[in-house]
Amino acid sequence: MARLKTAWPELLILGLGLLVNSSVAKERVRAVAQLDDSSRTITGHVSMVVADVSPNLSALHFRLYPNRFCDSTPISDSPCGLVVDSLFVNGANRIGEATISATDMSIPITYEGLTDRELAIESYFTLSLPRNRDRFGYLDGIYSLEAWLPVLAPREDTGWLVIDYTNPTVEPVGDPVDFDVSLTVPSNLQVMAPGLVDSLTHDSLTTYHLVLQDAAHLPVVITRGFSADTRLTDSIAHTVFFRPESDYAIDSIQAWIEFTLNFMNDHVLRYPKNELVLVVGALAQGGGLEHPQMIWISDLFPVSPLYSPRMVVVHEVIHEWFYYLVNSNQAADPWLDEAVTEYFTLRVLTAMTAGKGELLNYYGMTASYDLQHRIATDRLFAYARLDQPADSIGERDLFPTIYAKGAELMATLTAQMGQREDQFWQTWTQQHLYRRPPAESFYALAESFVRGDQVGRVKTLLTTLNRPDYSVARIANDSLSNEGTTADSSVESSPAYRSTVRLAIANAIPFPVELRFVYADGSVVDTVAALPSGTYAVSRTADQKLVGAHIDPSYLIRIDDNFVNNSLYLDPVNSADQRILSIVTYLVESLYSVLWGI
Amino acid sequence: MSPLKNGWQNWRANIVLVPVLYGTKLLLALLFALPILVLISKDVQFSSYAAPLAGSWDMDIIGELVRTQVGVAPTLVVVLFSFMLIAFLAKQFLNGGLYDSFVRERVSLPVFMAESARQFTSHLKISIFMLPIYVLLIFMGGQLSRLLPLSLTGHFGQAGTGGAIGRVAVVGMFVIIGVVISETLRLHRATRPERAGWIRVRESLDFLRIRGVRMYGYYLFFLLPFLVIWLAVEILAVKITGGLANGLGILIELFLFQMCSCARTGQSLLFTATAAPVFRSYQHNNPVTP
Repeated sequence: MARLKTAWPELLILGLGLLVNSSVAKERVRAVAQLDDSSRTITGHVSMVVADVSPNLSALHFRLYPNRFCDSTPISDSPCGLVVDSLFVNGANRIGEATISATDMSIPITYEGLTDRELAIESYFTLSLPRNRDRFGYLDGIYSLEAWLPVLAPREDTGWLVIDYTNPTVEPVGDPVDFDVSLTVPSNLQVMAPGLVDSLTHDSLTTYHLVLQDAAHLPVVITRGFSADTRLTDSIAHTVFFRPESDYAIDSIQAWIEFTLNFMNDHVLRYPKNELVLVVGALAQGGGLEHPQMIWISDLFPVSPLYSPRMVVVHEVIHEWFYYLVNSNQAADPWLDEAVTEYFTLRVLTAMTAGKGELLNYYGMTASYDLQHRIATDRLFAYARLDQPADSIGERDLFPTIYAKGAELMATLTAQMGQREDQFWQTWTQQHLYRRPPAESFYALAESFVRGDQVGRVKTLLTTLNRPDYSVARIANDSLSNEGTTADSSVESSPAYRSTVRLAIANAIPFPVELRFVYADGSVVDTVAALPSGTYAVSRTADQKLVGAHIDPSYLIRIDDNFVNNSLYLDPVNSADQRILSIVTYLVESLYSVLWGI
Repeated sequence: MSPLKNGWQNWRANIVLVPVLYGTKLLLALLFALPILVLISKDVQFSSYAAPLAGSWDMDIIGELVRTQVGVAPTLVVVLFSFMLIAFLAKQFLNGGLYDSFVRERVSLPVFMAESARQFTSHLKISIFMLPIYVLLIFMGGQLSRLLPLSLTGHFGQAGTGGAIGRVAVVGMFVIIGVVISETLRLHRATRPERAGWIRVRESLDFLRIRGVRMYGYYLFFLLPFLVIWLAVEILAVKITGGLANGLGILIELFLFQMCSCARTGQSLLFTATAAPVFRSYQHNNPVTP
């Protein structure tokens, strides 16, 4: 649904971003490829021009990402993965000099051999698809192609980023390039991909022309029997491809996409692309996968009390900002996109569900998405650092560390930014639009937005292995004399009580914390204090007795080990324990009734 | 007099068994729940974090309480399984006196206790015998329930409840068959203790061949009002407690829950009270040769 709202601040930021980025030369990758449906192979050739070659260049490295899946059973007898049959560099076939190591291919090259500072590269390849339907392969009539073309590996000023993708926790990394691809498939198949310009059918074959800009790779799904539903949100066309059995969910999915696009446009940066494609059923395993301007999600459970598809769709749409627009290194710094995206997922869900951020809402029983994070993180908080590279994290620990712990840490960090949080994300995104920022730049930028002045506190927080525990241990009130006389014999009243609150803080974060004092007359005094670890006796005098005290009353420190002890009152303030007794008794009785008939 | 009327009178004659059985169930539940109360009460009562629990079932708060007591959780699970076993054995013990009372259509404490002790192992054997039958019936019900679309009323959240209820109902219809068989075997034990083993099974099946459908109907006749009560209690409990969000709301919810639990016990015994005279009448008209 189109929004009627002027977007001039976002346009200004985008324009500035383009100005900053215009000096970076961007490669253009042209490719022509054809799918053989009977042998499940794709053959083709890729051509690209690398301009302004560095004099320090000693080799060219190519990303052969599909080789990652060579352990999967190949469908045909052809060699597994991506085989480059010939590689021409400025007209000379250099394939004999190529060295292949898992998912990397390299050839030596010297600057002296170049007549100008430009390299024209052309490769001919054969791609064999394994029996797989997660990131790459063919299964149950669906071809899923992620990072399938042999393009140059990403590079930095210091040299090539040669990444071993055989570790299942490592996601593809690439420099943003412009793709111009012609893909021919049998006419009984349909191609689903972003950037579709046109298609031409001839002799039972259909050629799809795809143009995608600023992308690290070109994602494609090829199958048959899918329908499409396209809607418009703020000039962004979002298309959902689905099979008939998922028809019931399309309105919901489109609504989730629309809400998320609007939220991110409002709070971060207006999405600069005009297309987003989502395919339901492109993945065999549960969950979702992000690509430039494309999202793959698994088939939906027919019924679920949990709103898990919503969570997945929201999460993957947010990746369009943090992974695509901010093209962070998913191998070296997976947290820069996943932790940030997971954090924003909670923000969007909270906004979408009137403040509850719910994962479950079932006849009065609610659970927030954040609960999932807290429980998932408990097991490994003390040994899993957030800033680990992807290949040092086991698959089992990936979600709890990078997603769950990361989101909790992001929430704790951004709580320190207050009203300036949106400005932080806007600045972060604009500064690194289509760039690959180092983690240090995130720390540095965040330092300038958080309160307090201790240097290095952002990195200290984000890499912590210790859950803090902020607690109110004790409250005491001592009666004071409340009358005195002055020289002119008038009566002056002084405070009636000195109240002492004992606080206990373990593993304090390097940021100030809020304190709240609640008095017998209902008045509340809020203050902020910078408190390192330890125990403290905080004294205050007042006319009223202190009846309650809170430390971090808004639970902004999301990594706090125990929220229950954040507050303490002199008298009981709720009957929650009785309610728990009531329901536990009833549940156990019901268990007996069901099992033993009494 | 109609069997339903007979059953009602039999139930009223033995009505003291309702609080006895319900009280046993409640006691065994409290023995598990009260230590939990002691464990969390000090933290929960004096902290404002858990206050929303008074009006809503916020799993975030429950999750936080579980996290703070995570060391105790495995112990609680073991204790719960232990209590389930104790409840099972207690029920097998009480079964002897219970079925004897309904067969006699009167209850007397010394006779109740004597029969409970005398028939304990028999009822234990019947329960073990019934276990694979229940498993088979649940499996059959599960297979048939798959014909029902899971998304009968919707797909996400509460809307998906209709399909789930439908499937549970189909499985439940099969489980009731097991309940009827179990009741028949136990009534046979109470009336003809000397006929044991496969003879008991055969004679019980002879009864079910003639009266099985009627017995199934009686069970449904008593179950359906209970289900209405249960549903009303659940809805009321959520609405009232959520609306009041204080100690009074919790007290009302506690009362409603216990009323529902007692009604379940009453419903179960009402079926037994109705089945006993029917079974006795059948045996009277179909004497067996030794």
